Amino acid sequence: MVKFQALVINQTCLGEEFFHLKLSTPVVQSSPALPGQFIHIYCRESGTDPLLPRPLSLFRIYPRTTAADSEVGAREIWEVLYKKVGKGTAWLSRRKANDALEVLGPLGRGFSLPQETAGKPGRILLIAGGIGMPPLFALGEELSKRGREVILFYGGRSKQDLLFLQEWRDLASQVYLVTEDGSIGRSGLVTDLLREKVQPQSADFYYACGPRPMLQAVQDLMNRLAIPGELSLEERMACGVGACLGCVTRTTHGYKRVCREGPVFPADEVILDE
Amino acid sequence: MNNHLSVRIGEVTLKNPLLTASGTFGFAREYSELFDVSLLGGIVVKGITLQPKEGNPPPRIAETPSGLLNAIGLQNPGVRRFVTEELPVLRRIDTTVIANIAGSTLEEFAEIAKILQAETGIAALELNISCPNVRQGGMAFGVHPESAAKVTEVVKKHTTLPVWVKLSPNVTDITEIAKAVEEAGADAITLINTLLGMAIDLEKRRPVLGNIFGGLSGPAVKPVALRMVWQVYEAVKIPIIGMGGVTSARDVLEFIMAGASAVAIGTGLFTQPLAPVGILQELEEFLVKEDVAQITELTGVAHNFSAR
Ligand SMILES: Cc1cc2nc3c(=O)[nH]c(=O)nc-3n(C[C@H](O)[C@H](O)[C@H](O)COP(=O)(O)OP(=O)(O)OC[C@H]3O[C@@H](n4cnc5c(N)ncnc54)[C@H](O)[C@@H]3O)c2cc1C
Ligand SMILES: Cc1cc2nc3c(=O)[nH]c(=O)nc-3n(C[C@H](O)[C@H](O)[C@H](O)COP(=O)(O)O)c2cc1C
Ligand code: FES
Repeated sequence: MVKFQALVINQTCLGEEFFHLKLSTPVVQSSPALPGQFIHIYCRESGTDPLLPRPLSLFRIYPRTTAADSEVGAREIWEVLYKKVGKGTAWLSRRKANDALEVLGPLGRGFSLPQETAGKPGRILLIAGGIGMPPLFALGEELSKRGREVILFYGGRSKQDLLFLQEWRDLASQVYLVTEDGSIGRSGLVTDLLREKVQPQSADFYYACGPRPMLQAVQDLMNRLAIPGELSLEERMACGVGACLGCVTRTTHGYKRVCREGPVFPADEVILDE
Repeated sequence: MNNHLSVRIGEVTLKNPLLTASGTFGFAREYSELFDVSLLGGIVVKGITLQPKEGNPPPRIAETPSGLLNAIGLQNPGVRRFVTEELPVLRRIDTTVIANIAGSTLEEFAEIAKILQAETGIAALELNISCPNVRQGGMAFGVHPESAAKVTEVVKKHTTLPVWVKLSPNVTDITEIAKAVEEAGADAITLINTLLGMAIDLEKRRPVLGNIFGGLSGPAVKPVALRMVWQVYEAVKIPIIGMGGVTSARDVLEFIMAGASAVAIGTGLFTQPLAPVGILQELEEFLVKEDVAQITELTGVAHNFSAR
């Protein structure tokens, strides 16, 4: 992890509340960013308001490729995809190309990739709920680069919540969409569809990110299907580096720091019911 | 190097007056990855209790206007694991280490002090007397002059290390407590700990924090902290370590001019993780610009204003 100034390459508004921000990172990373890791963005011009940085997952990670990228001195391009929900993200949504941003990262422990998970080359399920999707996209890109078959289950409230569907279709062998209002895909919850489509042997491993109630339902279902997996969690954060103990979540090994031991945890370690 | 920034807190010499506040810097491992932490005047470690503590249920953090509410609940590995796992790492850092300790009985305070007495690499003990005293129905030691003095006395009896007593701002008259701990033998006073506060989540119709109440820190509390440093400076003779909302060199200087001999940064690290590096540089620049030979000359100078 390093504290540095990133340059905004560009920012696009997707619908009314979602933003896609592309950053160039001028630092030489001693360790490259991994899918599932996140960054802290200090959402202010100067001074101390808002006081705390905003944690956002890396949506895409790749080396600079185009001439335009190298002009801004990028070593690596980091993209984030976020929903405007409050003061910090509203400030961030107003940043324009060539603005500088104070960034700390990459932070936390990302997804463990298949060779580490001792998987056979079988299918992998990615289960995304709403704005929990971004880290799974970075993971999906990495998995497909490694020739793994990826199946996406993606749920949201309505059509507008489901983003980058074309890119997902290019990446995943199957894409299952669910919305609460039925405006696209099936109507209902992501777990309804999972229950229907997934059998004990139909996948080797799963990765999920989304709202807590969804993660809880997914964890429960997958546990019954005996499919191992990992969950990416959110918690309120202050330091982001593991020093303040503000972001803990309950696990079978006691409280663990979401910013350090997480945000990705083995699914069987996390205790989600309060 | 930086001789003119060095300060003394009783028998402890710090290479500069900038410390990290307990609980905001862990045991220095994490921030060591970000900057050279040996630049610091000292490191005050996370509060240590006799037994390991799991801490409060989440959420533990809430941002407020220019402030931070926290209810960590003193999560820590306990004094024995501190000694075996953290202290060896801390000893390798070329700066002063202060152990912040907390007990819920006098016996616990004494026991922790005894265990740390056997160890090298600790320059002073800082007593967190804001935690609930189980014998007195959960009331913090730090809210009564008598119990604050008693803890100080007991710890002094079990250690040869200098004892700094960290005061809670959640009291009617901070000077009473300060005078009581000075009389009981405290070598220095640290203040302020966090101010008790809370926040409510409108959608969930419940308190934001898992613990309901939390401690407020950050720029929002700075004026209160400064006022208390000022009052305590007029009430006692022992050195003061000031803190509460420091984010810049100007803040550090305000605390010093109000009466602090050293100053700690806590929440400011979350706002700007590299703040200490910039602050130390700016302190140097300030001394040059204002033609001050030693930063110690500035301690309490604001109290002379009427005499000018
Ligand atoms: C590891 C991690 C990864 C994340 N990745 C993404 C992402 O890729 N895209 C995305 O849109 N959002 C993501 N979030 C959520 C995002 O951090 C919040 O939406 C954001 O902090 C809101 O800030 P605000 O100032 O706009 O909102 P406000 O409500 O004004 O924020 C107030 C405070 O609450 C905190 N906060 C509010 N919501 C959340 C939340 N859901 N999780 C943690 N802290 C919160 C803020 O950081 C701030 O300290 C992630 C959160 C975490 C912990
Ligand atoms: C997350 C957090 C954890 C803290 N933990 C402790 C602690 O363990 N012991 C203690 O004496 N003070 C603790 N404090 C209080 C700080 O050391 C400091 O007194 C207070 O935060 C005011 O300074 P600041 O505004 O610079 O943070 C903690 C503060 C924060 C924000
Ligand atoms: S945010 Fe401080 S420990 Fe995770």
